[in-house]
Amino acid sequence: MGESRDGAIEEVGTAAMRLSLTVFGCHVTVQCEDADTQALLVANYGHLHSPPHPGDVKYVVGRPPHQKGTPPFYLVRAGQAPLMAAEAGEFLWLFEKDMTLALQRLRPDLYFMHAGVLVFRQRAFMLVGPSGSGKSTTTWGLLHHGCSYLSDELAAIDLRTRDVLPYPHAICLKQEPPPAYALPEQTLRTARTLHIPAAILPASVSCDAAPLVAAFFLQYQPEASHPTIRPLSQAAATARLLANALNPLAHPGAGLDAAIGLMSEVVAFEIFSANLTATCALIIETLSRVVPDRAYS
Amino acid sequence: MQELPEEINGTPAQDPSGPSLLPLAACPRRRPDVIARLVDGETVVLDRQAGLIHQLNQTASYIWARCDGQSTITVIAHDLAQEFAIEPTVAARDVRVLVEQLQALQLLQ
Repeated sequence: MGESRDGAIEEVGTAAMRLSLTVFGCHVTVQCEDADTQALLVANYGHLHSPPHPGDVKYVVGRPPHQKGTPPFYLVRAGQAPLMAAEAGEFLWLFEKDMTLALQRLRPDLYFMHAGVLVFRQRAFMLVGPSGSGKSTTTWGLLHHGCSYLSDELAAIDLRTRDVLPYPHAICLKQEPPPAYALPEQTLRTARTLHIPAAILPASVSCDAAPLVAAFFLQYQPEASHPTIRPLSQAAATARLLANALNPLAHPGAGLDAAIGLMSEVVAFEIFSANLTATCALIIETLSRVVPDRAYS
Repeated sequence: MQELPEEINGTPAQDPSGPSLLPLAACPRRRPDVIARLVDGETVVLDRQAGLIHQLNQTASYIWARCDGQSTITVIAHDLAQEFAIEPTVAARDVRVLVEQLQALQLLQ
């Protein structure tokens, strides 16, 4: 195991066990001390793989020799105490959470949102909502309806350009989607989550930033027979955007001013989702009116 | 993550039962530490202390802007009635109810 001495990480293992990622222009290097852990991270972040480079964020991950009562995964970031995970799903969750925090510190200029992002007619749109609102499931569904994939769970917006930066890691679901949207065989299944690698998605993966044109604020209503949608005023959209921002304090006015600026240029809707097929159709229909064909000619 | 926004309307759904506790001569004052922005005629108020975001409609935004610590409820109601062309008694009730709401939400000093 790479010991943490005076904040430094002593790298062990071969270059083949080292994973290099580029996320939002930042370099993340991960020294994987066993093949299983490396396979987990490659499945989740393979599309972000980049040539080796000195990392802005460095990790050592792996599985300690099996001992009774010892958690099977560890994660160490330079200068931090080790994090332990009981199983693969928890390990991926810890890694994602820690890396997200590190990236927010490195890129305070970006406006980070708890949102999924897809591309329609070369324009980005967000699915915004708290955990359990159906963002990831709806993202997965929309990939079957002509949209391209930009990111899941985390949207990073460049406030100067209103572009959303790509972060095409594996889509993470908490439960099986409806049969019409069955998961591919190569889906990674852990005790708590389902991870669909970007490499096996049914649609193209967008690796370029795209300008944001729309935001859909999701509320899941499983008891409803069909989805409904209503436009939001700029103030209502601003308030909802701010409520789902991850780093508002990194921006002036505690993030409120940036939210106002974004929502002044973006159309926003509140969607009460129900049946996934109908919800996707409603979103596509709405986007077809918001982003006309001529917008990308 | 902060709480989802709650919309504060300037008009109550029904007349409040019982007398208001706020005197008409009271001069409500916005808390200086809350961050508020006018957005296309409505107001978004961020209360970092409570971790809440509020959305005020047009009428409530007008009343909020007048909560400057110098205008009495009577004056605010009078001006509201003129600005929005509504009955003075309705305006007085709306202002009292809204100010009490703002007070209950601890957005006023």
